[in-house]
Amino acid sequence: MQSDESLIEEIKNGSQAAMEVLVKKHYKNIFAYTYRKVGDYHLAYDMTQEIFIKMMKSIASYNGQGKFQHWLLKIAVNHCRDYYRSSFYRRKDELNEIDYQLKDERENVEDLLSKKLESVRVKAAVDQLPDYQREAIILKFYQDLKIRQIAELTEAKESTVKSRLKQGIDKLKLLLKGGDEDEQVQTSRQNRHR
Amino acid sequence: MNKFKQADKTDIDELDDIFDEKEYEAIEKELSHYLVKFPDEHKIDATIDTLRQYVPDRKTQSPSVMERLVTIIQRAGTEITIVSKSYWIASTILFFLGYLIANQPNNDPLLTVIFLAPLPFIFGLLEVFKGRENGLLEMELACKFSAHEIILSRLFLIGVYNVTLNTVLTISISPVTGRPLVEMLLTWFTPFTFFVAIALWLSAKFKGQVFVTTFLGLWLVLTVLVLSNNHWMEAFLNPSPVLHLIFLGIGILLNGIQIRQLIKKYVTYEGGARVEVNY
Repeated sequence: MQSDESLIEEIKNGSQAAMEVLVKKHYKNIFAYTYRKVGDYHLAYDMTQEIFIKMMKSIASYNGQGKFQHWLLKIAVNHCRDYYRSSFYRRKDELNEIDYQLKDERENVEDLLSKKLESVRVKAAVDQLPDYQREAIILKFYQDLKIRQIAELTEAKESTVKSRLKQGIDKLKLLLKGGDEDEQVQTSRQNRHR
Repeated sequence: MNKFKQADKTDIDELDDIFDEKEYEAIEKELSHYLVKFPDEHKIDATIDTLRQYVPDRKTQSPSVMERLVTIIQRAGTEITIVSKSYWIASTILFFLGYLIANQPNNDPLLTVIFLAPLPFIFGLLEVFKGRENGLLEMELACKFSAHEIILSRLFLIGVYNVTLNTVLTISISPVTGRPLVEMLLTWFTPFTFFVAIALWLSAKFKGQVFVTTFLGLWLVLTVLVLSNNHWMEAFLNPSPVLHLIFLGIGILLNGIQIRQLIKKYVTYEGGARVEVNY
């Protein structure tokens, strides 16, 4: 298999085929990160496309220093952060309470396809984590990065990353252990909106 | 992409101040249940199609004149088999016909060479553009050569063949004329450059049969005009050296212009840049 660097060189020289190979090579990794970060299949699909557009727009400036995968992941991390800062997300967040039931049903349909209730349970817990904690956990456990690499990617101190991981994992354990309690809270919350 | 493999010792080590090993593995196991449903190939391809517009334009490499010439000559070698046999046979027959006419006592051998010289090239032009005529140029493009390279290679091939035939004919009649060989060669070569330039111009304007008919019409009129006028015949056979050189220069220049036009035309043929093909 061709290296990322040689594919990038070919893309810079105008090869469509090299772009196709490079995107296919990294697509699933970026999609998985984005999906776990935003928790919505359709939004993750659109955002993954936007991340690759950003990659193509700045590929000329990629100087080959550092692993390409990390360079691309950094674009994904920043893009997801931009999304959470966007007015679109804030508006959506305000409507979230009203939309709760609908969103839940849609997610259930998508996730039922995988027929993995465990997956739905963990996803629901991860989705409830604060952004920065979720980001650190995804990068550590799903992207398999070292603390130092997460710190570089998220432009934070290593101690901050550790702290986010610690707080995130603690909260996650509570959420996963208290699944039943949460379900009761959710039901009463939905009932409030009926 | 699921990264869940057995916990790396260093992964645990760097977090050992906040988790113990068992706790880390338990979290990792729990998180591994979170699966991702990936978009299907069709949707990934849609993203790739969207990205195509952001791929920079293919850099056109600008090889040196020498490199281009070498490519065209190499290509011409493979064109020998593509040019039809009937062309090679017809040209050779013309050569023998020219030899016979030139040796007739009533004819001026040099004048015969002058007027027969461009004919193999004219018929050869039909071979050069046969892909265009038959709508096969796209198929011919399905290789790593561009349209103008194919055209130039064929022009080079028939040009070389034509000049070789004429030179051999000139050498074979030189004992009859008693003139210096170089002078004889230049005498037919100067009008030849004009004939070729006109032929190239016409071939760019008209399709095969129309072009050949038009050219042969012009050629016949000129031949009759010259042969029926002693003054013109003399001017063709014995031009002053200065005039000869001026006309030769103009002829070569006209050919250069026509070939340049041809390259410009076929460089943009069907977006005519080099075509990437998987063999």
